[in-house]
Amino acid sequence: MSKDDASAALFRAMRELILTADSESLAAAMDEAGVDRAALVRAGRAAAARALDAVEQEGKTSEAVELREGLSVLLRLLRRRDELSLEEVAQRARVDGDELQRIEDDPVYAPRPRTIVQLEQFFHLPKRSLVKLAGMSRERSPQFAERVERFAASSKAMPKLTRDERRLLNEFVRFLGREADVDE
Amino acid sequence: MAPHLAPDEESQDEQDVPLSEYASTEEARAAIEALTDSDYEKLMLVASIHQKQRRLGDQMSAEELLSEAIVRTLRPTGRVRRWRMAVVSIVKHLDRTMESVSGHAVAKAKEEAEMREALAAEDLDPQAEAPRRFHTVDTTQRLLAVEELEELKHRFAGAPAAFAYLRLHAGGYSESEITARLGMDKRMYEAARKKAEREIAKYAVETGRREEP
Repeated sequence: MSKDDASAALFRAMRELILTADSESLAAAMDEAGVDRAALVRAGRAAAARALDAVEQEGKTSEAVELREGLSVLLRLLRRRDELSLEEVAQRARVDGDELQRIEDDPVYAPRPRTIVQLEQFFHLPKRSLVKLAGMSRERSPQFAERVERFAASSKAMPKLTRDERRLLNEFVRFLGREADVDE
Repeated sequence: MAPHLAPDEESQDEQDVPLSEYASTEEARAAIEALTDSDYEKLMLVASIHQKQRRLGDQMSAEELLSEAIVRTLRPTGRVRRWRMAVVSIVKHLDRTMESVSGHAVAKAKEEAEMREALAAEDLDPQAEAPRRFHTVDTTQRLLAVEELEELKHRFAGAPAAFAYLRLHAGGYSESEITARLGMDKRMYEAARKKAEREIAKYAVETGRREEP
């Protein structure tokens, strides 16, 4: 066995000894060695808390982005259905044109609540439907995210709505209406 | 929820494992939340040993290593290491994940060092061939391993029986084989094991902190 293999084997044996040690025996060994066990436990629990928090944040971020992809697709389809340009929607809904562009193009962008409410009213959408799609509310059914993902994946970039797209859009708006009923 | 294995984290053995053997994110989270103080003591000690073995220095502290292992166990997608809950305990799984995380950290540091060496070599000798440039990084790794072995020998200098026990344990010998080889009775064997536990615990906590650059 080479010296680096011997070193690796020793480290492995050391870890194994710790992992398989009887808890009481190890506690006694640590006390005798003057190890601050409480500090070890605090550090371990802090590491776990940080990890749990990081995973939760990652989950929130990725889910919010998926929802906003649905928001972006929905707004584009509604605009095409009504044959309106981005500027026309911005003007009539009284929202900032640059922000509307960003909402349509960048799902990572978190829109302002006022903009979302204005758009919801302008397109006569169910109350709080765009609020949920913008990831601003966690009150939603378990199937909401999956349904939004499917909707976003089915959309195609074409200048005018096809019959299938119109059907898809109507179905999705009806779903948002049912989702609004869940809140009440 | 169907477990997901990122290809870069998946070993050949793991590819043959039925997905039903892996814990869901929720099951893994429940197991993490149920870890006891004693589990944390063990996890922090082994994290410190990994940190020392890989010479992570200022790259990653023992606490950061454990945290990253938990993140990879809980993550639904991306760089994940799923827990085979029917096969290994969560503590053992986290140990293996720390081994993988620390291994990746070393590989990354090595790659960066090789890159620096290559750039430096190009500056000095544009005609130099790549293998010759990369020679010193592996040599350094080997020298560090030898140095580490010497440090361990030094650490156990006052406890030769415990070190002999540890070396035989590392060589895969059973309790009866160790007692026979070292001419120990049961009481002496237990004393050597306990002494080894004490020395390892002391060694780990002295080295598990992130070294200031």
